[in-house]
Amino acid sequence: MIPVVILGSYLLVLIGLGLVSARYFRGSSADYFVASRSLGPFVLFMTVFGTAMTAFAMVGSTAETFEHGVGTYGKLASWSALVHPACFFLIGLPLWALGKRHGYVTQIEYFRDRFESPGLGYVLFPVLAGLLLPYLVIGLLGVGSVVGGVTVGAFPEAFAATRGAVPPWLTMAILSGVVLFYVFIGGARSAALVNVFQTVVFVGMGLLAFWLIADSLGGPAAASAAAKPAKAIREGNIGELEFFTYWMIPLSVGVFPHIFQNFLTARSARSYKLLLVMHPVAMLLAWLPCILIGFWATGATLPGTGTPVVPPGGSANAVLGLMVAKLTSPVVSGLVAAGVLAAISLDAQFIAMGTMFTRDIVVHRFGAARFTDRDLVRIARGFIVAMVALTYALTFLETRQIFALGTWCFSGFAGLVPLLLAALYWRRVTRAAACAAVVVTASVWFALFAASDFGADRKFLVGGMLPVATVFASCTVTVVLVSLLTSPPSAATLAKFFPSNPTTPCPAN
Amino acid sequence: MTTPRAVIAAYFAVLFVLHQDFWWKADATLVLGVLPVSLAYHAVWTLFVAFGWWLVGRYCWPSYLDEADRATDTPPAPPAARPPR
Repeated sequence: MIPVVILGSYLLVLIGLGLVSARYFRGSSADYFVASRSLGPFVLFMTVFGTAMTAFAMVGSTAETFEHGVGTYGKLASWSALVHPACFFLIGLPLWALGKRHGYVTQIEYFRDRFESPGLGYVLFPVLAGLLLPYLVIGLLGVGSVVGGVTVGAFPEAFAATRGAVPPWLTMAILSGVVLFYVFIGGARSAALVNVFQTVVFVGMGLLAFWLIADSLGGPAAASAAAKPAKAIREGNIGELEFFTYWMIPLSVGVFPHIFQNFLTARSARSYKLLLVMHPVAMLLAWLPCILIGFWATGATLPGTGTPVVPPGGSANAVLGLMVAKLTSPVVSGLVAAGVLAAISLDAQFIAMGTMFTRDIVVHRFGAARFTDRDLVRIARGFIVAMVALTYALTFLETRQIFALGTWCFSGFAGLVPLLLAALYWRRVTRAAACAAVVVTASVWFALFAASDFGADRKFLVGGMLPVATVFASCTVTVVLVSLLTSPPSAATLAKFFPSNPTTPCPAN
Repeated sequence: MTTPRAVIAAYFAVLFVLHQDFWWKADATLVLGVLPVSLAYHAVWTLFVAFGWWLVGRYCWPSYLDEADRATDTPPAPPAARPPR
């Protein structure tokens, strides 16, 4: 029952933060979508970091290390520590400047202008929204699974079918309701405040679990000495080419619509400096404890007995839960479960979907003059309600395929990075190249996804490399070749996006 | 490319290459008795990455963005929406 109380308290804090931030909501669409571009360095860092991290940082990292060794940190965390800030600096910062200069709020608005193609938005919207939906579904399923694991026995009579645990459908409904509540009333400002709190909780609880588990196993040195040496190395766990090509996966943050919108919330360019430096440090603090817990789990036994903490043949995804439950107390189990929930941030994704639908479809189709600013907020809220309901409904589908699709979503987003980089830095890239790149990237991604038996083959590689390498290369080749074979953009577009004096304010604004 | 930019770009290029620590891929030594050597290496590597981004902020920050900030310190209005009824 203690974990239920802790998780309930955590959700009440989220509601409270939503109510607090709603007091500062200015009622405008600019405030609802991008917090009036007013976030300072600390909130920007906490928001972007909290949004970029998923439950994988805690549960998945521990499970992956338990199965495939400590190389998990190198292939996922340390590559992200380098590539995420590179995306923030090379993509986020210029897009923030362009957004401020020309009033962009979504990627599609930028792409439409940059490529002089109103139709491009109608191609991009389903691709971006389609890749985002499974990501949201996974988040909700993760919440259902974690809460189910730590509440076993709490309600033996009410939920006998789940051995007394809160059933996933109820957990997911409650969390959907809470997220919808604070996103509905405060938009991006609420999400930012909640993300600051969630980042503190998720990093803090990881460190707490690490400390207490180490203590229970006789200290960090004893715990490491008991772990399997085969999991302390990369050889035999992951191929060198596969390890290398993992650098492309974190590129996805450069294209995620919700991260893009986070970029635009910054008050000034200087706000990015703290984000660039602290993101790698926060990656280290968040991932290293969980990686070590996964490593220790390979040899951990219950104190005073020879019984393994993780029984042979058990699910790797249960490793963190078992280590916490068997080596610490119910209070810590509840706190760690709250940490996992905090890592699963769905708010920014919902706001991004609502913003894209409102600005890129409704306003673009019917014209901005037909709507008041408050109408735009209402439309976004309505679409967010529909998306939360759809996401919840999708959790009742067959889950294996959705989980598999989720891991592939990152590859799809990462595959579009060459197009975004070309748009920002290459004057010669053309509208035809942009359209061709979106179609080719989506087609190659889908062909590989189908070849992997729709994600069922978890070790699917192309020439020893992750599929993202092929998707990325296809997009790059298409952008370059089609651009060189078609007419360059107009002089007006080039003058707009590559001005000779970028400090001059935009005349339109 | 100016000298600080070139040096920092080279610094990141070297870090990118050094990520592939194949020389320790089969070494199970525990640093300080706790951290597998490859994991310890990547933890330190991460701190070097953070230092690299500090160098970027200090020596090759695109200062024109700060100037543009001052020039456009009022957030742009959303596109031509009608005033509230």
